[in-house]
Amino acid sequence: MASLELNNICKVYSNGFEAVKNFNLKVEDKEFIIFVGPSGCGKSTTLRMIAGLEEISSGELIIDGKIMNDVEPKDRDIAMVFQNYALYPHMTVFDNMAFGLKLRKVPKDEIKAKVEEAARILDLEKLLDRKPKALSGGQRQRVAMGRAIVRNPKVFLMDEPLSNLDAKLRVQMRSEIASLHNRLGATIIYVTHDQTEAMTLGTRIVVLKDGVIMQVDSPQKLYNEPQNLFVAGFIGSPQMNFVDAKCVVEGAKASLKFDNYTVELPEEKAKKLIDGGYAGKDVIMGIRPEDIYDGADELAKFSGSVIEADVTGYELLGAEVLLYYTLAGANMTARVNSDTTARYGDHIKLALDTSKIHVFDKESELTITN
Amino acid sequence: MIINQKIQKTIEEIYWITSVEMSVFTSRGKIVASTENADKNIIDKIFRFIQVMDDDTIDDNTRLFKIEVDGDVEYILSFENVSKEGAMLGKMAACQIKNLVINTSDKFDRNNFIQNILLGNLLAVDILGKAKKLHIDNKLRIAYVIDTGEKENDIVLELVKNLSDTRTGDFVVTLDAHSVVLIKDISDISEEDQEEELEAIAKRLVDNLLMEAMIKVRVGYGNPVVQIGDIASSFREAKMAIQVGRVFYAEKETISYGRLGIGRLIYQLPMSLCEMFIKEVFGEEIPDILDDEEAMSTINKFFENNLNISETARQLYVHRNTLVYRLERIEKAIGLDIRTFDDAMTFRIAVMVIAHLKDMKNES
Repeated sequence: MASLELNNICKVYSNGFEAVKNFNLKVEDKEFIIFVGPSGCGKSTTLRMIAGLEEISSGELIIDGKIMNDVEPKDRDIAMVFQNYALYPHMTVFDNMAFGLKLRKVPKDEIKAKVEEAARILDLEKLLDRKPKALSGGQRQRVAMGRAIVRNPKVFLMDEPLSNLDAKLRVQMRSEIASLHNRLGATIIYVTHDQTEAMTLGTRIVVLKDGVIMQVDSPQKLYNEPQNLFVAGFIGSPQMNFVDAKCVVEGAKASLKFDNYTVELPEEKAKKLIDGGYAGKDVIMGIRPEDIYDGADELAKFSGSVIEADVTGYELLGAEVLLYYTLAGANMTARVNSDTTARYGDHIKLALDTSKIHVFDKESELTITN
Repeated sequence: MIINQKIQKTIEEIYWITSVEMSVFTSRGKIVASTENADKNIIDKIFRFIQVMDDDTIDDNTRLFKIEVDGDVEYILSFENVSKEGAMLGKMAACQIKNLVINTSDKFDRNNFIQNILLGNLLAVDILGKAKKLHIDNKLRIAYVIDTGEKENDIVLELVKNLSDTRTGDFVVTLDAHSVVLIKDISDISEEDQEEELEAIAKRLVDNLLMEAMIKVRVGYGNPVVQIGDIASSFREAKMAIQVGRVFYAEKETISYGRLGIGRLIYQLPMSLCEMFIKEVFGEEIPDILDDEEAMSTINKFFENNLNISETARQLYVHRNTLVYRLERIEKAIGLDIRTFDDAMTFRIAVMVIAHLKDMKNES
């Protein structure tokens, strides 16, 4: 396997459209990196530049210390897995996995050894003589993975490989890919628009927007410490709540004022706002739905940050309930315990966990508190 | 030549099993293939054997067999074992070569036939007769053109052949060095799933070629046809889809002739008319904002969302007011308020016409 470096990579199309801007990333050996972002953010374009399927307009792509910009795709020692895979209908599982190697004129003995090894890793050993039509959806997907594995590439590139599967199979394959990564010890770059897939699979996640990296971090850090408004809103479902607020400073204390409420921030967050010169300025307050409570204990614990609202929506998810309401003109969501008595139309009290509040600069949209 | 190579390979395999030296000659005595130590100087024996009625004979230490295809003697097999066992092995070898020749020529003829239909080299009446002779039924079929761009098509041809069902109703042929044509039997696809399935086939072709050979292709496809002679029109449609897609839908890897949209009309407009239209919309100078990435991605997203400002702002992750400001800036630059339907339509067509003009200029 291999390490990979993207230095100042840009992609500009002939019509002037800049799909990827100044992309910098170092992928360590055996890392599972996820590119995530809304459609058109440049994640697939970046992946294709790594594969050599798109020309790099400027910047350097380095694999294992070698500059790869002008190396032909087939010579980059990379394997790709896409969503619209198809197996060769008349070939057995063995032949399906061996076909790419045959095209590359790999000796027969070597092909046999590689296919058998891939079959062992993918638990396909007993299915090697079967034809594709005799396989289940999950088994077919594994054969498709096998076609990439037999090539023993330095890097695996996966472009939304699970998007065409139904929800149940997608969950199953997600865990299979995670375990495959552990067994192969492979360097994988995986593109998805699905943040659940990103959060569950990646060792690090690259969040992209309009061809620009918004943040690169571990799933946990991305969720807990988003560096800007976009990442805060993109990662997490339901997404983080945002409210326009004013920063009020009194001595060493800082509060956020919105509607008729004033919420005092913990000392550490207050210091960052004061040091940043935000006294009297407009900011954006962010808080995740699960950091808003309606239980009596939490209402008492966070008595300084209790708000009142009318429930405009109620969704029971089983273990928890989503309550929808409006605060300072913004649509909000709270994820509360399913034993809540709140229902549609109720006027309720909700407590905000101030230690979990994020504050963003209104103009730059960058975090102030993280 | 391919058939000669196949015969050579076949007799080598038979030698490996039987250890009998052998050669294959044409009915005119020209050697086609032989094992390493076979006696090749038997031309007199071949000519003597052709004169007689027998299907096989022994001449000196060689047993000779006639290989007939469609009632004509095509080849002679000389088998250097005159024992009783040799007679049986020789007959089996002759039978094997005969079937190989029939299958190969059939396959060649079928592909050649399809190539000639696509190129318009056959009269309708000839197509019917020849199709019957080659056992090619009228079925619901469609033409896919797989455009490899600058790359050679040899690996693509090999991969597409293996992805398709060439043993039944599919045909894979090449007409030039940079594309492959797949004539796909789609009779098992129900009418209601047809559109979705045809697109899925095209996408599978693209992704498999990327996965297996790291080759980026563009796939265009025509409308389904039943009569085998009509496959040429499906092919022409697929080719046009590729051309129109290249100009107007560069980001798309699969293009259906049935979904070319307004590109279909604009593609056929003459240059003078296009220039007149652009002058009418933008005046003498094409606005620079058309090269501004942020402006164009904003406009495209706005169009995708049916001119809905709130939804576009949400999808672009910008404030509504920011989007309104951007749209006003665009209006100043292009003289069209794309928030209104008429101006939005005019702008969209103008951008496509400019792309068409650029393509025509590049072509010429």
